[in-house]
Formats: sequence, C-alpha cells, structure tokens
Amino acid sequence: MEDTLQQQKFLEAYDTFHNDIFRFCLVKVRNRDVALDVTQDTFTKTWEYLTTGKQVDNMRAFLYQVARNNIIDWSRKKKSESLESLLEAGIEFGSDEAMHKSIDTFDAKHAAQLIDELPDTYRDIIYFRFIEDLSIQEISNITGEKENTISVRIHRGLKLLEEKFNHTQS
Amino acid sequence: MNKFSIEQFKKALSTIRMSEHERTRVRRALEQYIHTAYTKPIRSPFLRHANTFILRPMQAIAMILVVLVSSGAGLSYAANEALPGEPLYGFKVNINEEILTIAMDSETRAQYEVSRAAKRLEETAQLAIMGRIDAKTETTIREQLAKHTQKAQASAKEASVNNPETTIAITSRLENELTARGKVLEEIKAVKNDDDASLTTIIDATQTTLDEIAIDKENAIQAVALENTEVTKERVEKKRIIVDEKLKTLENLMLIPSEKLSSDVTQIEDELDQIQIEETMQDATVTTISEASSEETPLEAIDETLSQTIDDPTSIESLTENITIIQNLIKNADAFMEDKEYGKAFESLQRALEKADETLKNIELKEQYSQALEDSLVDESVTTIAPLSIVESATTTDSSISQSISQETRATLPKQ
Repeated sequence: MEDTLQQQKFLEAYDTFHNDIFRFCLVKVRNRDVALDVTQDTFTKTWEYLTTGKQVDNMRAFLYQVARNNIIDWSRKKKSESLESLLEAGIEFGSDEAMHKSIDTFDAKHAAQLIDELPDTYRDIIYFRFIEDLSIQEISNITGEKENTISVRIHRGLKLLEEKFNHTQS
Repeated sequence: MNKFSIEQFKKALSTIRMSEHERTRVRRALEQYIHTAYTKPIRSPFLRHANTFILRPMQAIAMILVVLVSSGAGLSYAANEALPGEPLYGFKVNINEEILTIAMDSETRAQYEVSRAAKRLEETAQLAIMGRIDAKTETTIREQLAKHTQKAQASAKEASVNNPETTIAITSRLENELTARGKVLEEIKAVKNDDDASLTTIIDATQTTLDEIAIDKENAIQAVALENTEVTKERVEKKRIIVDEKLKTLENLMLIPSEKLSSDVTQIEDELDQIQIEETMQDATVTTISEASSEETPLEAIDETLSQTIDDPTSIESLTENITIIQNLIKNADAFMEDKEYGKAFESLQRALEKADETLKNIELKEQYSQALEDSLVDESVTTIAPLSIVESATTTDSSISQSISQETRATLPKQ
C-alpha cells in the first residue's frame, strides 16, 4: 500500500512538473528529442532515488538538480562525439504545430539562445531565478553555491543578459 | 528597438511545453517503469543477509538459483527469447521468470503476473504470425495464461487486505492488458484469413479469462462499498482527481485535429496504394493484367483489414463519444457522493477511469499499428513482417521499447 502511495505521489510530481523540467532540458540541450529523453531519464532516476527510502523535501528543486546532472552527463558524452551536426542544425524547438499555433517559436529560440550565451556561472542561476521563479535558497540547493554568491551572480547575470539583448536589437 | 525586460524572456520560454502526445508517452513509460521495476528501500547489509539466509530460506534458494543461472548466462539469455514449443521455453517461464517472483511483495507480484499474462499473449501473436501454433503450444499457452491470471488475482487479494482498492486496480489493469492483446490476436487472425483452430481456442480462452476477471472486479467493487464510509469517501475523492486528470488528457486530444491524429495512418495507406500500383505494373510485364488483378495481394489484404477490422479510436467522433460517457459516469459518481453512497460512487469513477484508459490505449495501439505498417514497407515480405512488428511494438512492456516508440513519434514532429 505504501508503494502504491509512493507511485501515486511520484506520478503527481510528473503531472505537475513535467513541463518545467522539459523546458529546462530543451533550453540547455537545444534538441527536442534529446530534451524528451533527458526529461524521462530525470524522472526515472528520481524514482530510483525515492525507492531507496530517501526523502525529498522539495521535489521541484530536486528534479532540476537531477536534470542538471543528466544534462552535464549528456554534454560530456556529446563532446566525445561530434557536436558539429547538432550545432549546424541549430535549435530544434519542433513541437506539435496543431497545439501551438499561436506560439512564436522564434521568440523562444531567441530567448533561449541569449540565456545560453551567458557564461556558465550565470546561465543556470538566471534561468532558475527569472524563468522558473525559484528562490535563492532553492537555487543554492540545486547548484551547491552559497546564497550570497547567487545573489551577486543574479545581479551581474541580469546585467549581462540585458547587454546581450540590446546588442542583438541594435 | 524593444526595451529589455526579463518578463519578455519568461513569456517567450513559457511557450515551450511538451505536446499532449509527448506528455502521455513519457508518463506511460514511467508508469510501466515504476510498476515493473522491483525496488524496495535498501536495508542495512546485516539485516539483508540475516533475512536472506536465516529468516527467509526461500530467498536463499532464489539466490543460489540466480548464481546457477548467472553461471549459464548465455543459456538464460537465450531462454528469454524462447517461444512456446521451443526447448528453452520451460526454462524461461519456470526458472528465469519464477526466480524474480520469490522476493516480491504481494502487490508487486500481482503486477508482475499481469505483465506475464500479457507476455504470453504476445508470444501467441508471434507464433500465430509464423503459423506455429499447434495443439501442444496452444495447451501450454492456455495453461500459462490461466496460471498467471490466477496468481495475479490471488496476489491482488493478498495485497488488498488493508485496501480493497488494490484488487480493483490490478484486475482493471489485467483486463486492459488482455483486452488490448486479445484484439491484436483477432486482427492477426483476420489478416491471415485462415481458420486456425488453435488460435481461435486461445482467443476464446482469453475472452473466458476476461469474463472471470470481470466477476472478480465486481466482487472487489462490492468489498469497497462495504468498507468504512469515511475511508471510502477519501478514496473516492482521490479517484475523482485521477479521473479528472485522464479526462483532461482526452479533452486535450480533442484539440488536435483528427487529420493530425491519423495523418500517419493516412500517409502509410497512400504509400501502400502507390506500392500496389507499382507492383501491378511490374506484374503486368510478366503476367497478364487479369491475373495480376484477380488475386488479392498481401498488401491489399492488410490494407483492407486495417480499414475493416479496426475502428478508428483517434477519430473525433469516437473521442467525443467516450468523453461524454466518462462525463456521465462522473456525474453519476457525484450524485452517489451526495447520497453518501460511496461504494457506488467509487464503482462509477472506476468505470470512468477504465473507459479513459481504454481510449488512450486504443489510440496508442493504433499509432503503433501504423508504425508497424510503415516498417513493413521496407520489406517485400509484408505479410510476415508487418504483423510481427505489430506484436513487438504494440504489446511490449519494456520501458526501453517505449522510448523507441516515443522516438518514432517524435520523428514525425515538424523540425523548425
């Protein structure tokens, strides 16, 4: 019975956060198929973690943390292969046209590209803070950085992003 | 020039979402994963060994068997692929699969036995396509199917001591799995268009099993009705949330134009037509045109069967009808809740849930069927390969295969 309850809670977490995790993955890996795989893998690993009897206090933050690690693993694997084909292809934000007719995917691409161009130290922090509305404490849990450091980086990162944005506009 | 605003980034990126198909596929893969993967909280090494070797001799035997089987890993691996009637099949069902059940708790075992029952029907489908079902294999399959069904029901009852809902959930899954695979068998029978008595017997046995399951489920529903009303009320409310979620999924599917939902099938059918035309033209060079057109080609047989035997569950009409049924069942449940008849409310919601699951399952099978047909186009032996692909893709329970299915679907998405 306990297992059933755990399964139910886990699936509820998927229903609630799947788009958040998918969005994070897509912005980072820039390929829809890979993002879907990484998202599924993130939830699978989270389930494996839960079944070891460990508790997760903040599921959303935990999922981001697992997703982030998965993406790092994916990047390492990718580096050993050729990145050229992926980069040449650009961002694949392909989605179900019928469901997203009103979406201007160029904007999403543009926004993701600008965030992606930020240095590593700012990229995730800016994303978590402003796109996903995570608290500084949550970001600290995910990235392992001190809260003070994160506050400073948010300020600097935002400035850098603005500069990049203005540059593209001009 | 636009002015910088972080809100503008947020708004743009918030448009990135999984499509409903992607969401459902990943969810299903996860559901399968968490139901089939046996995982329990890790205990301390000391306790684990104590349990295995002192308190639980059966587990010690299991471990010895695992070691023995591992030492013949090649044999074990080969046995996993064995079909009824083959030398290693007994090894597969009596050792490879049985070993896993020893350490399972009753609910996990029940879920596992459901998967095994479904697997037996998948094997049946493979054999049917190859024309390898005889009286002996038929008996083996029927016996195994009965064994797994009984074990699943017994384990479900065991697991439902504290929660009768467990039996309903497990018997419902068993019902869905067997119904879907039974349909595949019927489709294969129709495609083959011969009077395979053994296959018919197995299809009948599946139907009989389904009838028995229905009775079992009915009893479980009554047991829920007799339970403590407060506890039942709570469960009914939880069930209502799940049903609402499923209904939402179906309603979202309504937003996708029917042409999109069945576009793959239409495209494949067009390709089939094209191939038929080409084949007819080729035949004409070596035979007379009348000979070429008088006999039904395998492609025509499949095409015809596809259109005749499979209802289109992805059609808007079918979805609308099912959604209406589900909405009515929910309304009934609400009325029962008001009258404090929680058992009946639970039953009504359970039916709504099954209807939703059945609809989603049909859509999934239809998609996989179209994929199997597409695969068959690359091979000349269409009659053999196409149904094999149907079975492999439509009935597998392995999560890795689910991933490959997802990738197939994703490949159809537009690249921008």
